Amino acid sequence: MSHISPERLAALVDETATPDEASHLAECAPCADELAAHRRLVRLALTDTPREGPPLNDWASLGAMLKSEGIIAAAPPAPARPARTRWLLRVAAGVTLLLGGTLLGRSTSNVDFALGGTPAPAPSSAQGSAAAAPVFASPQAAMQVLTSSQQQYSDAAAYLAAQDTTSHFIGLNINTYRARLTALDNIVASTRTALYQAPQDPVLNQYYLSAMAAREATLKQYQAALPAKQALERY
Amino acid sequence: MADQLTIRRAIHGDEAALRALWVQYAPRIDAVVRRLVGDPDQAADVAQEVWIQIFRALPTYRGDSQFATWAHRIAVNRTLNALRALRRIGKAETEIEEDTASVEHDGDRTLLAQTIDEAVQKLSPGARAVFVLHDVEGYTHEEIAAELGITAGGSKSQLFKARAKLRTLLKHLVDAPISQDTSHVAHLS
Repeated sequence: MSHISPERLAALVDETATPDEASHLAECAPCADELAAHRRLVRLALTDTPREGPPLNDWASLGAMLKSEGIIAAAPPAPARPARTRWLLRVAAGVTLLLGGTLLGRSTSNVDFALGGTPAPAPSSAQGSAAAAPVFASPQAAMQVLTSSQQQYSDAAAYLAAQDTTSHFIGLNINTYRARLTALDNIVASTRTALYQAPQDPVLNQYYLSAMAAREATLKQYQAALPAKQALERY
Repeated sequence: MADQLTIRRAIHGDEAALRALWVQYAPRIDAVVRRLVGDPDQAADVAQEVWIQIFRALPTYRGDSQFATWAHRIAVNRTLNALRALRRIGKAETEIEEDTASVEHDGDRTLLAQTIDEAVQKLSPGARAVFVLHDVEGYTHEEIAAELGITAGGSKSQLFKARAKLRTLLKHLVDAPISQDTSHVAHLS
């Protein structure tokens, strides 16, 4: 039998040799060496990772595409009255903290949060005695809880916005929502600016995400509070 | 964990977060695109499409796998779509018939490739895609056939030709330390 072709040797890395090929490989050292080289090639490919290089595009062009696709959110409008920014920020931060704290507290205290629902069972003695400050195994574990709580907060805020049964009791109206949205926009804008400087900062991230979630929820409430047939275009 | 926060901000359309993800992962993702596409200009266009697709799909990322793994899968799929759109794969199937496994031998070391990346760029587009998908990415011939619109037999044929060519281009990397019969290599090529 003549030597086995290169392509057939390449195939024999995956496939079983015929009896003729097997007996040839047993006797022909060059063909056996070639088959071994093909096996080394496949192992090399399997463990090889592409050589990293500079990105193929620059952010200016990609960012422009992402903006045109609507993937990059439009920047929130600049505050109309800069002199009031600091005051608004303080109030808005208080609102965010109050809402976040209330929602987180309720969502983690096992109290039925559904408005008009039946009361949830009282917490067990183990839960009732868990008044001491929680101990975390590591900063990563604490951060995980923080992230998970943030998600719960966002979900709860969205749920409340959909229900919107609280407005009647505490006198919220369109003007309230409008003021809140302006304040939240300011928080989003200032934390976003700060995140350019410190993108990994967990406090800034939490404030930013809380403000975004509260803003989305408020937008829904605002839209629902508008008179019928009036579309939300600006506030 | 910081990634999760960045990803959540990116889902909200925050440019700084989107940019941070791109800066962190573009070298790796773009390298995969570059390897599959070959031509640098076309690779840049495809990479842009890939990143738009990654960011568009971001809300579906559940965190079950590493972000790099998730993005890598999208990059491969989107690149294959782009290659199909360029009609390069189907054309390549006929090209490969002429693109035999032989490599010219004139003793010039420039004909050898120093890395797999470099060697892969010397393959025809179809052979390159099949080799990368099968031997690097771990796709089966059936999956490759479905992705590229060819038959499983065609995929196998292209793979074996690609391997034979790469074996020669990378002989300095895959030859046994002590060559027993160098004349045989020349014969096989």
